[in-house]
Amino acid sequence: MARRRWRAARLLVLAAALGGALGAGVDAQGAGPETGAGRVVPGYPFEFPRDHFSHPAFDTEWWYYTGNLEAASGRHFGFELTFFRKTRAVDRVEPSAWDLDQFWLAHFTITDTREERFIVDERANRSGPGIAGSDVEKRRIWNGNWSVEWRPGDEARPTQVLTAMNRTASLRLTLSPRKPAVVHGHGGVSRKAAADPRAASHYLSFTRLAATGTLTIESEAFAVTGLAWMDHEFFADYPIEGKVGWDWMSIQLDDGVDLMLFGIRDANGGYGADTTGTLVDAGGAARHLEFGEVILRPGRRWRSGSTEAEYPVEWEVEIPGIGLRLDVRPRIDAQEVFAEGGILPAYWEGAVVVSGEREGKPTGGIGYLEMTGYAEEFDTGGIGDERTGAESGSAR
Amino acid sequence: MARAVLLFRLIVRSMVRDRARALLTVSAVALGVAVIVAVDLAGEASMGSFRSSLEALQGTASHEITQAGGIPDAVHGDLVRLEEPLVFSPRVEGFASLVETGERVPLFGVDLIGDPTLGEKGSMARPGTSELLDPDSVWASDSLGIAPGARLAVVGADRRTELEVRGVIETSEAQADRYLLMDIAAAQRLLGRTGRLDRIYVHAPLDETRDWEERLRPVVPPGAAILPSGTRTEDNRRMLRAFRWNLRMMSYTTILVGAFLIYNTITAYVVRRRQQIGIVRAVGASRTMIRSAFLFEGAVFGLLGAAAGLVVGRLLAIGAVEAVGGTVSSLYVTSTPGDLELRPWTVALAVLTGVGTSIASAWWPAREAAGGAPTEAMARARLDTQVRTASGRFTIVAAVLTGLAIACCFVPPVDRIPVGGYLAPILLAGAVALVAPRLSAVVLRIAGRALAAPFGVIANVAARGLAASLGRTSVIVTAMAVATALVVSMGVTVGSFRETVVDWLESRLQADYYVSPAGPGGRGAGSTMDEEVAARLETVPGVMDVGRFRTHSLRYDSIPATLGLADVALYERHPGVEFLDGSVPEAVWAELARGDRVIVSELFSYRHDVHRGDTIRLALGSGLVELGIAAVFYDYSGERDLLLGDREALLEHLPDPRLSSAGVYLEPDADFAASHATLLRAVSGRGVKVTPTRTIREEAIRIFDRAFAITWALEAIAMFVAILAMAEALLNLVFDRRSELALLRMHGASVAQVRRLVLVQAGLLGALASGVGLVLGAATAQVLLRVIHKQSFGWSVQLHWPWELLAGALGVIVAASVVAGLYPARVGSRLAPVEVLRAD
Repeated sequence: MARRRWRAARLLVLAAALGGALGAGVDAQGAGPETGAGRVVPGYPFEFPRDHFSHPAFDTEWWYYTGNLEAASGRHFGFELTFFRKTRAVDRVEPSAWDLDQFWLAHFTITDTREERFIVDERANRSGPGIAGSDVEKRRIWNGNWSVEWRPGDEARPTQVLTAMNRTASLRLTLSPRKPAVVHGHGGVSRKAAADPRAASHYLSFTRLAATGTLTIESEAFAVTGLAWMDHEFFADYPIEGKVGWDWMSIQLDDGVDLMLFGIRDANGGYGADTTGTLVDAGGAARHLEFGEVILRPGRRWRSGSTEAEYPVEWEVEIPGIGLRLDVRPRIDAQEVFAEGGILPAYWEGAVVVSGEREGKPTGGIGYLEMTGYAEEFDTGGIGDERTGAESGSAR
Repeated sequence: MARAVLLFRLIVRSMVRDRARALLTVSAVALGVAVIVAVDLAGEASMGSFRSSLEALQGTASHEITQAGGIPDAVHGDLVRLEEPLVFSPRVEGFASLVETGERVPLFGVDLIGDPTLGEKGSMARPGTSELLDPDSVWASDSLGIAPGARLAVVGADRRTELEVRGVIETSEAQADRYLLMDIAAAQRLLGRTGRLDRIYVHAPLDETRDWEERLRPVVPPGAAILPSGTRTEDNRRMLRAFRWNLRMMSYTTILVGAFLIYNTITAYVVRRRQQIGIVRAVGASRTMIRSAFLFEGAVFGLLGAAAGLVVGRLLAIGAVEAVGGTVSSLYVTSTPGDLELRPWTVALAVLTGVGTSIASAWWPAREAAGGAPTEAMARARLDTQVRTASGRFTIVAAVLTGLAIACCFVPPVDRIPVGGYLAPILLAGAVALVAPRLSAVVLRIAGRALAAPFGVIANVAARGLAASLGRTSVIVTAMAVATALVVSMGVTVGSFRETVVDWLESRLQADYYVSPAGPGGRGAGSTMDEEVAARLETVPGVMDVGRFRTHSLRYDSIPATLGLADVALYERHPGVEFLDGSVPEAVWAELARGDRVIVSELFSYRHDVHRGDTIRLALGSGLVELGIAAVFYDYSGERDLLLGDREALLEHLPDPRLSSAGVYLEPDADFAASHATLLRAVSGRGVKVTPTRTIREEAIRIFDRAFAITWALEAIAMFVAILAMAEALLNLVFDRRSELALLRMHGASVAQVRRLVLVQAGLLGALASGVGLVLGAATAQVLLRVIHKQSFGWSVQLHWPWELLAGALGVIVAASVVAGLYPARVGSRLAPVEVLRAD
């Protein structure tokens, strides 16, 4: 209990920092739309490598790396390495390296399919004296010794090196883009809600990254190869009325087509018109999928023993416009990102396999599925501390 | 078997019959044991569990990184990026005083956001979103008893701040640490340490035994130290060990004096029961049986004494903890006493010393009892004759012992414990015991004649009486002399030390006022103030100079030391340092100003065996700096090594201009009294205090006296036991010589004359013991100052004779002897002459 209380303190900072973003509807106190000066507006002039790195003017930003890996033996692993950033307004009377103007959170997970093991670690830091950050000069984004480094060279398809470790596992992966970065939405703006154009982000992805590297679990090292996905998103915090979470998935089909799909969910479990996504063909050309063009149907539910949350771990995806229908199945059910006493509300993010048909022909592939807003804490905003509920509950 | 019963009945019966004497003896043993137990217990409680209060939040770290002048923030960033499964906990450490109570408590700045080890450590009730980040948020450990939500005014460094207590951290009952905790950014600001960390704890995986230090080394600056965690506790322990040993040795003196008392008592029994012993021997008891009986008696005294001593010692320990704790706090580091715990080891120690000493003391009398043929045993004064005839041989052995004692003084310390130094006084005491008979004989002969004039013939008779029972007389003289020597040697040592410190304070503190951060002061506080304070002071009319001073903690050769940075240019006008090696001050100051030289304290020089002209490599700031030693100076500020360098020149390596203190030198014609107010006005708004130098001196002396309070207490107890021994010895004497006294009475001596006779004897004994004690004490003082102190503390102390104190003490001893003679005198004067003679 003692431990939990203490964690709650840290948690609240994060709830404030990321609640509005991840929760898509949790209005965290002190992190209103006014925090950062940055606004998501159409025609944002993307420029690389600059825009691969951080945008402190925007409240919230994240870099999501997920992927499916295989050892030489064929043994399957999934991984997630995510860097979250949050801008906070700080009164700089007497500047200190430890001022909390930039807050960094990171998640590192490994899915060991054969052992049905899911390793989760969370790391929270302020920028501090080089503890965490993003540095365009050094081409690096890091949180402690978890990092991604962008190798110089082909700026359209920059090689990215991931490093992460804890006392159980370590991962070092070199990711080579097979397709250039895709900017989602129209005019560089990815909208989240059909009814409110202000709910939007700047969102880009490397949808197909060839991964090679080493994964070590309990001092057993595996040479791994596979396919990874990278999402980079930045935006001004903006709560969306009546929404409690989202479901998102990345799909890499065997024929070279990649799909990013998401729906913003309301309390009844419906999406309204708020499902959308992007289709990237084998050549790398992207087509935006408009609101309503994507149909997401939740299937079998799995109940988390840690949070008691029930996640629909199986999905049926339909995009009638292109004649695509897919079944999404988790590699293992237990891929809930929940750290005991962790900062972020629990969410489910895990490796999946997909199979189905396109225009009558069978197709299949791999991917990652993310589901937020199912855990009770997340849902009520009362993340382990009675005060939070009182403070942020009003926004619901 | 029947004989054995008879024998033991003989012993037990006499113990019961002579209850007063038995009680006295048991009390003496009890006191001796009690002192040992108390010192042992108090030592354990106030130091055994000793832990630096700054280690409260250490957690399970395996290493800690420190750096003189603080670790630059950025080093932490470099460390956390190391691709190793290590966790790093940065710390800002300092002290804050609570304005309301004046209590000075450790203040920790921790990474409230990023440090995952904090979750394992503290818990904080009801934290909230913005609270963590407010610069006035503070958490208090529960033992401070501050309620969440309370406003808390504190002074840290040179600022007073109102903080809001956001929550309470539960601490374990055993530790009950009292501290405040803030976020690292807020703590840096409050303590004036922005940009610097005091410590970084390293948490390594427990199951991996790799050379982490090797891995960390390339990342931290060359000047940083990577130490196993808990080094501070180890440092403290090491530092305190010598101090504890000295206390222990002193506590054993009491039992040594007590041993004489046991010797006396058993001897008294032997003397009184000579006839009975003869009878028992005549009916067939063997010598071994007789001897065993008396040794058994000694053991019984020892056992009873030890049991009582344990109880009394436990009680005494309550007071002793405070005294010892006070000494530790004032001489070393702030400590919180732990619990008094009677460990099996302590019990064993008590029983062993009690019984061991008793049996050892009973050895000679027991041998004497068993020694002669049955008829001889019935004759008296065998011992006296023996002593008289053997005294020549004794003198030779005494000379050998003295030689050994001198040799011991040149034995180097073993692990900083001056073994030779401890042995020397014991050997000297042995020598005194051996020359005592001959010396007493000579002195008594002379005294007898000399005293005849003022006190009449009875004085002569008294002296002769003493001389006639030399065995007993010399023992009591030795016992008293040892106790006296203890008083004298401690008096001389502490007196000299005090005088030396007073002189040193006088010369060291040259400024008229000292300005320092208001709140936390004292050892290890490390509080600093803005340099601007000194600049403001310089503008005050009447101020001639302002000396800026800054201290940094560092380690040299893995021993902690303090580096003081001073404006050495000012030393030319206001010399505040005296050199041991006759260095020319002007030359030294010039050398220091170059920045590649320092001067070191005597302690540092002694401990590391470095001297003028040598070069040392110091970890200063981020680098390792080669510095020459320009001179060695006297320092009595504490048990810590001290180095002094030029502030201006060494700022290059330790680029933190903040000050630990500033000395204000007034113009010779300035109005001292008025200046105080002017200075205060000049620094108003800054949380600094302006202290007249006189106050600092007085405080230093007060601390000094407090540190030695326990010493005096131990001595008083030893002296008390010695006086008990004296009373008993006189009683023995009276009893032993009862037939003479009876004869005197028969020949017309009055009751008053007999009383006077005994009193003169008491006075003579006291005087004799004082004289011998004075000599032994003076010799012991030399050993204490030149060997024990030097070896365990490294201070050289100028010898001062505290004449008044000594005269007073000796007067008290003689007076106490006479008082101790009052009861025996009464007993002696009340003897019924006829009955005594008939009994004989």
